[in-house]
Amino acid sequence: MSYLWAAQVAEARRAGCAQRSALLRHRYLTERPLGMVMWQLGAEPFTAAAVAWGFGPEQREIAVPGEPRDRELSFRALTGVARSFNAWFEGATGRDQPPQIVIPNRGNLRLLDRLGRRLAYLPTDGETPADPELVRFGIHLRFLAERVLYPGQQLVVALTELLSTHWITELSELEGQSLPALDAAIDPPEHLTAHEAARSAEGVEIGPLPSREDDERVDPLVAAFNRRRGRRAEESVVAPLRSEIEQHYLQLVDRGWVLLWRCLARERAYHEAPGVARRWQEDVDALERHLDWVNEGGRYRTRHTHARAARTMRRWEDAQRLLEAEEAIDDPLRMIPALLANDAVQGRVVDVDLAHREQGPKRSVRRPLVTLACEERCLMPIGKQLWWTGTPAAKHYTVLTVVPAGAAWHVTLRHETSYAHPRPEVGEDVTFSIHHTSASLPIMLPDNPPWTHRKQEVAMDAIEEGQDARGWE
Amino acid sequence: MSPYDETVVAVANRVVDEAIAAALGASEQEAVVGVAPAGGGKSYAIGTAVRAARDLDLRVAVATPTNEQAFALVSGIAERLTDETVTFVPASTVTLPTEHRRPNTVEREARNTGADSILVGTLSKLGDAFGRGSLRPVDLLLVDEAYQANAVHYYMVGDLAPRHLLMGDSGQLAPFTTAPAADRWRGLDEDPLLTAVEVLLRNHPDSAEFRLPISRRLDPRAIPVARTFYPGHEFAAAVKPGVRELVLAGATGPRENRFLDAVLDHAAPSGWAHLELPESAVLTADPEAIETIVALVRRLFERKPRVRCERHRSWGELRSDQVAVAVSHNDQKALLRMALDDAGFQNVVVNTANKLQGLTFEVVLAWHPLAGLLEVDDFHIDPGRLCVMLTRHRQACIVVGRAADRELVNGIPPATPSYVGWDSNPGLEGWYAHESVFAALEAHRIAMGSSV
Amino acid sequence: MANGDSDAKAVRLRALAADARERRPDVRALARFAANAECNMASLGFAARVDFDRLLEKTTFEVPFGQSPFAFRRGKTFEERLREDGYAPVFTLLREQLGYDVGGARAVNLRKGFQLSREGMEKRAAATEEHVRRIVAGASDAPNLLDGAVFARDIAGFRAFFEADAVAAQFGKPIHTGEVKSFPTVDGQADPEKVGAAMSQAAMYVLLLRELVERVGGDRELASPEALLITPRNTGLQPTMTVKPLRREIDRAGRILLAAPSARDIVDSLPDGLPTFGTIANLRRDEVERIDALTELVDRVGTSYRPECLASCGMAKFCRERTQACGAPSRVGGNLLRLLPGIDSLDRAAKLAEGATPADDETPVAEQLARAARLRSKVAPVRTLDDKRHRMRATS
Repeated sequence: MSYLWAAQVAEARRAGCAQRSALLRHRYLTERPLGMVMWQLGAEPFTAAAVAWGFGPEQREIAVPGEPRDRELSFRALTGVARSFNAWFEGATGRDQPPQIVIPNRGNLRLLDRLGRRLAYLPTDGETPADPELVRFGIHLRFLAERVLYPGQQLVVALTELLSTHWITELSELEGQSLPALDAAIDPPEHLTAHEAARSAEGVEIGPLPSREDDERVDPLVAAFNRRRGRRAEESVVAPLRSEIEQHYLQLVDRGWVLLWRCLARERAYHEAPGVARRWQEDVDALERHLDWVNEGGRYRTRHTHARAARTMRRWEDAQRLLEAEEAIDDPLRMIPALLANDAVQGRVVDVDLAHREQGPKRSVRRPLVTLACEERCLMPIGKQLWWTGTPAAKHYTVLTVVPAGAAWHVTLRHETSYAHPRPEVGEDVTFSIHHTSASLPIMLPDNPPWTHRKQEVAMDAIEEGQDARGWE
Repeated sequence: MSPYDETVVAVANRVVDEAIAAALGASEQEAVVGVAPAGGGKSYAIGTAVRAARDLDLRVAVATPTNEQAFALVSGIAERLTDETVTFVPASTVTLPTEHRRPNTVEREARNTGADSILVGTLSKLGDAFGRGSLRPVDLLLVDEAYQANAVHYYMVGDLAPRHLLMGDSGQLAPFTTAPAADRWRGLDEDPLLTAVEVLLRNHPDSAEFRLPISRRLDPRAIPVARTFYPGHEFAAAVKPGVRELVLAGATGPRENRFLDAVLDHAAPSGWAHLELPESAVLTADPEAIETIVALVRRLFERKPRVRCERHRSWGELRSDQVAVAVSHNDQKALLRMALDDAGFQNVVVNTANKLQGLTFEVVLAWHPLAGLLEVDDFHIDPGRLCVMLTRHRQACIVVGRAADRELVNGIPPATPSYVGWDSNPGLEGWYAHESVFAALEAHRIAMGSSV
Repeated sequence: MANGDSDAKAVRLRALAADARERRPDVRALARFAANAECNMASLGFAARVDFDRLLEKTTFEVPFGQSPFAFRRGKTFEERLREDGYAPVFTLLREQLGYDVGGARAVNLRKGFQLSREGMEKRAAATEEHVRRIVAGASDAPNLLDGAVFARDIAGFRAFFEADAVAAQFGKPIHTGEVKSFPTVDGQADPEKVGAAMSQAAMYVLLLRELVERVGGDRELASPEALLITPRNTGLQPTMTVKPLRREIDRAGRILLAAPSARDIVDSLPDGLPTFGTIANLRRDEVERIDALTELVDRVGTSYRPECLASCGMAKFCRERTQACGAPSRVGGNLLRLLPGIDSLDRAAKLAEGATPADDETPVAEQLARAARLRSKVAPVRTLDDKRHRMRATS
């Protein structure tokens, strides 16, 4: 974190409200994303007590199993979710744009990840076959859980992250995991400062982990439900007995539902950064590869091969570099940390010499020179490689000289190519930085591991066996 | 009278020979690991291994993580094996620098090396070429800096030879990534951030391991501190005590220099000094530390430093390019570079620990990673960083820090995460390493009075 | 330190604790103490055995506490599974991974048949010691598994009881300590923070087991430095076991035990007549009275707030409020403290950012802040509450 952040935190405190850490919005938001809000039962990792989904603040469906630890009830509820989700996600119904999912916080992400893990490997035949819709839902969730780790991805947007990456508050990272608190710090109600508003809002638990009180309230309801249904799980029996539990979770879901959409709408109002388009296209391409794969009956293993892990890490490194570069190039506020760290220089162009030549190993080559006048003392070392924000994918410039010139500093840079790229013009205010957007070469990895990476005995974990069907109670 | 402790050297040479013999005599799909402490002579051992392999008419490939390491191996091996041709296989953007060329070195594209017997390149380049089918497998693969190489590097070259010899320094900086979810695969076999050695031992736990009991760079005075980073690994200095000497002209001049002189006069004979600035809350690129380091460099050279050692038995002037300043952060580096340049010391090296790995200097000034911090974190407590900083020197190392630094590792170590399937705990190990080093430097501590 | 001193400290601590709810001194209390060793109030609370979780109940600073009943039950269900068929699942794991010969293996459940009182715990500790004695002596009827072994130890002047989930032994093998947790290990991985916490706990038990082994005439090294972690495997409730070497963690546990008594030292520097924890915790008193009392105590003793406190201490909201009021960077946490050394308040940082003259030692930081603020002001103005309201009106 940079001194810009420190200065802005101080400003946020003084102003009593959050400050923007970006002028633009650096994540794509579709017009009609699917919102999802979920609740767990205690720390039960692989099931959901309630799943709500819908396309706007006014519309919301909810699935409540009643007893989430009962396999049949849990799967029936989740299958309901799965049908709606799959139809939309796969493009069969009601979407004219690629799918995007918005959720309140990372906890929901982790729960989706765990649900995917549980559902994707269920056997669809044998003693207790699972509905293929449910399994496909699980496979989609597996894909999304992996995609979420991709820097800059926009298929699943966690609002706490969207807000944290665009706003600066006095809240710590831990406190910033509460969407109500973040929202309150950004838009405190009348007469309250950000701190006061966040403090009062943070008490509202919007899931997926219930507070002790929430669960103590539903505990007797679940116990009663179980008593009344005995060991029966038929829908006709359990549905009428479940209404109290449903009411309980409806209330819980509604704590966060409208908030989710309000936060989204507020971010939508900011102008989108140009770099977003390329990244969204990458997301869409990845999605389409996934959908094709699933269509062909493809599945994902529970473990990665060495090659897949290596390629994935390399892609993440690249994506991270490109994300930081694009955000800085698109957004002057995001460029400031580079300026502060001496990784960027800003100034007015005072000279451009397109005809300048240098002696190469074989013949003389054209190497255009650009000279900037900077207000600040430029601490760039000679030889540093920088890119003009106007041509971030071209070859780099090299810092040749840094000399004082009156009240300013003149920095001369040499473009290491004679290609007729656009160049800065005299009088223009420009920025040169370490940020560049040339893609890295993919690594060539044999799919089969070498002997060094293979154990002396048994090989890879195959597709997971079905789960033990024992219920909880 | 030999300047070397012949027993230590003999034992070490034997271990090297045993490791090489084990590698040459290994069955197919077997590898041997040679662990060396800092300055243990890994690259020299690699050269010896190449010689032994060539004596058996085997084709050999030598791979290492960085280009600079590859260049040094090319020239080093070529100088020792004058009857052999050493082929450098460069990446497309790289060429062998003039200072590393020899009469018996050539530079070739991978696909033209079919008839060559000694190939040298980076793990990336050799691996990439091999993966594309441009490189014919060899009989023996030698991997240098095997603790710096990660599992992916090693994966790419694994099948290049049925027998491997991995040489590495277990104390230095481990592989890392700039990707956010770095611990996604931690504990699993497929973790790309495992070192080459770790991945080998996970899959072939019976691989022979040899510990080189020697450091050729460090002299006996440096060993007690260096030992901290190699628990369970005994080693001694190759050179005898007293062979390495740094002498300074008598201290004259203004009183202001008294403190710096005290530091230098302690460091020269004992090999260490721990200069403690007064306790103060400071930012990373602490101007006072920078000033002190520059003043120390200036005072060092004002006192006409002369050195001698086992390679140069008669006295010679210490040159400025034989002095390095080790830092943790780029902004520390940039500001120090500027300050040293302004003071006329353009040839004194300044770099981060990452960039100083594998290099040797006569005198090192180490800007302590914890200097002025209010609390520890994974980056600063990393034992590899401290290890690199404190094991670059042949004569003396002056550590610069602040009085409250040692309190950061007093008392109760912090709680740390723990991973199923991975037994290392760098956070905790780093904490203990730092604590040990402070204890070892206690005798060399010279505190600046608080009246600065 | 003479006994007389300890008694004096104990008396004062008891007086300070008064009738506030007591915090049972156990491994979690020690872990919290270790995590908050920098904080005087935390140390004092630990030494006085005051339950901070409930201290500020029914005030604006109360923090949610306690476990969900479902979470509790999941843990119990998993444990019960492990006990089925005479602990067959556990013995299978021990056989598969540690080579135990489980024919005729015996387990003893030390959680059954004892009262849930201090007396009960003492008896369990005594029973544990007896079993360990037989194990060390190689007795043929020595148990192979102790479920709920208890180690009793004096810590900082009070009797603490440590309950290890499992102690596994077989003649000729090292004695292993194990923890049973209900978070899952999925595809070979488990939450590193949770595993870390479990291993810290286990390390403490290994240490205590070593002390016990020595006490009953055995060699400390008989207690293995490797601890066992048993969790559900993947998405079901079948168990899986991880074996972890814990050399440094065990040393750390030793340091925690060594440091614990020093928590009491704070009491020496306190004057008489300070408000007690009893007053502060007293639900029948006015909130204002209670908070004033706490404020007086805290002013005297001192705290050391960090955002991490919110996850582990019942006083966190109170301390956060104080920190917020004075604008200390520690309220925000993260790197901020490192960026603003010597700057006590964000208010001062704001002034320096807009160009106020810095004191000598503030100069390096002031330069950075001012530069950052200057660059920012060229690009965007500071957002204020008024702006926000204007925009809201414009869009509504």
